[in-house]
Amino acid sequence: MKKRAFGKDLPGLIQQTWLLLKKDALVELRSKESIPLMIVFCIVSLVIFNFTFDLRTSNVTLLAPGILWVSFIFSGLLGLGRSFTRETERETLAGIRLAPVDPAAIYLSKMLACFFSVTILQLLLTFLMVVFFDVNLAKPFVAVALPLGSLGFAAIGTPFAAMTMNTRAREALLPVLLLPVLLPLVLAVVSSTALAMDNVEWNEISLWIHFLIGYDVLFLTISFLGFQIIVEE
Amino acid sequence: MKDLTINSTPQKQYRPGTSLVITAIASTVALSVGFYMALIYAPEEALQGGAQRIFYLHVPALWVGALAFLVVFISSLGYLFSRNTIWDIIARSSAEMGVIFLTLGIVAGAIWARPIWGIWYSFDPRGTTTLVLWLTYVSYIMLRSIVGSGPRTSRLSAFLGIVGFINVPLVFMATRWWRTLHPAPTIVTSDSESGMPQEMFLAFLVCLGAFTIFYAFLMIYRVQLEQIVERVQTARSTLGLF
Amino acid sequence: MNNAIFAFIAYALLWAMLIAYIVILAKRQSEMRGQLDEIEHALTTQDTKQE
Repeated sequence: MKKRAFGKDLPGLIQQTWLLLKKDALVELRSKESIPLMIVFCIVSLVIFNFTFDLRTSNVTLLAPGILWVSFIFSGLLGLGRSFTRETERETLAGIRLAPVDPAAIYLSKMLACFFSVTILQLLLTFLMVVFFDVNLAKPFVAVALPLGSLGFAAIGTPFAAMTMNTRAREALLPVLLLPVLLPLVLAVVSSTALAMDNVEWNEISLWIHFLIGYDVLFLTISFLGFQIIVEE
Repeated sequence: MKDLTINSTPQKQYRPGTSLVITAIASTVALSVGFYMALIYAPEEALQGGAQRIFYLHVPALWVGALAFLVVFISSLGYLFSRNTIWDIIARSSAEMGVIFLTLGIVAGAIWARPIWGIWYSFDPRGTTTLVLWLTYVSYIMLRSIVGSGPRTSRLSAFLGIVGFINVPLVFMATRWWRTLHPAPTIVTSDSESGMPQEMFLAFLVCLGAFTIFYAFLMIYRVQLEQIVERVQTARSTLGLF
Repeated sequence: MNNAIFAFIAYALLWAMLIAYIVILAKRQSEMRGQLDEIEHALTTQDTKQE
């Protein structure tokens, strides 16, 4: 098989990414299996958190950043696994790979699809946190930390989902492989969300925001370059 | 028929090579000397007593664990650039070795921490980073065993080997900042290296060297084993064609 | 301070683990060599048959 230019042809890359993204959106709109599944899972976990922590703390608000991000990560993992499983179940990825598509476009479209779906999840999650736990999340720095966290999750989650897509026990393998790599991200987002909720000054939170930006840039680059290695035949 | 790889390779490769014999002897000697120095030669630490002698085992084991993962990282890069199977063999051998030495280091650390700190494990930056390193490479081995053998596994695990290694400094940075911004546990730090008597330091250095030589020996042995496995697999698939 | 028992446990554990690992490796290596010999034997007999 001829080697395709990897991320060389920029207009073509953008166009292909856009087409693949539209395809993913269409599939999701028709099947409605990935995002609704994540959302329902997320609500269930919030209910469980509410009861399990209620017994030992009088003030669940203190745990809100942790609850928010644990629910987010696990629901997000569920959706992430689905995005590639769907492709293998219908063998559509093989079809895409037969067409002259730049693997970089596959990465970008999958990453953006993941980013959009976890952003929807996150908006809903934030709303539910306010409803269930009565916390005030309407802070400017929360609005900075949340998208950065989602972007980092999508950036590094996508190649890992692609890695596990054809394997046995993929549902279990994906979190086992991904969670150690996500740990710095989780620490940074939980910390910055907590600090943002405490209304701290920019200079106190800037360390974590810069860390998040660095993490996102680093893993976007590595994933972008590494994705070709993962999907190559 | 005569061109089959298993027939064309010389029989000599089956026998242990000189490097294996040399490292075997060297590591036996070095480890014996190291343990003598650690257990008898080095003076008893005034505050920590006998438990301090775990230090001569704990630090070298973690050092070898970290070294092994550096080797995984380098050989993963080597594999991706050259696509030579030997890099992959080195990577998987070293990952296994790293997990074993890291497990040893962590367990020894926990045994030490119990009498000295009063806790088994501390999620301080070093402790957390070590644990994450361990987890990453346990999952690396799991990935390899689940996906099976073949070039796809080699590529996937090379990617994981690189990402997992790059992640380590990030984990360390994040946990350190986390602790500075949150109340840190009041624990006596183990920075006793500064005021260490010369005998202790010497014993420590010898143990460090001994463990490194031992790692080299195990690596050579392990890589040879993987090469044999590789040839058995090639031979099997060739036989299957008949 | 009499906590040398902890050091003893740690060192005993070290040796137990390393020896177990070497034994496992040696066993696997001899097993693999056996298989390789077997396959080579099969191949040579096949060779002679063909000739």
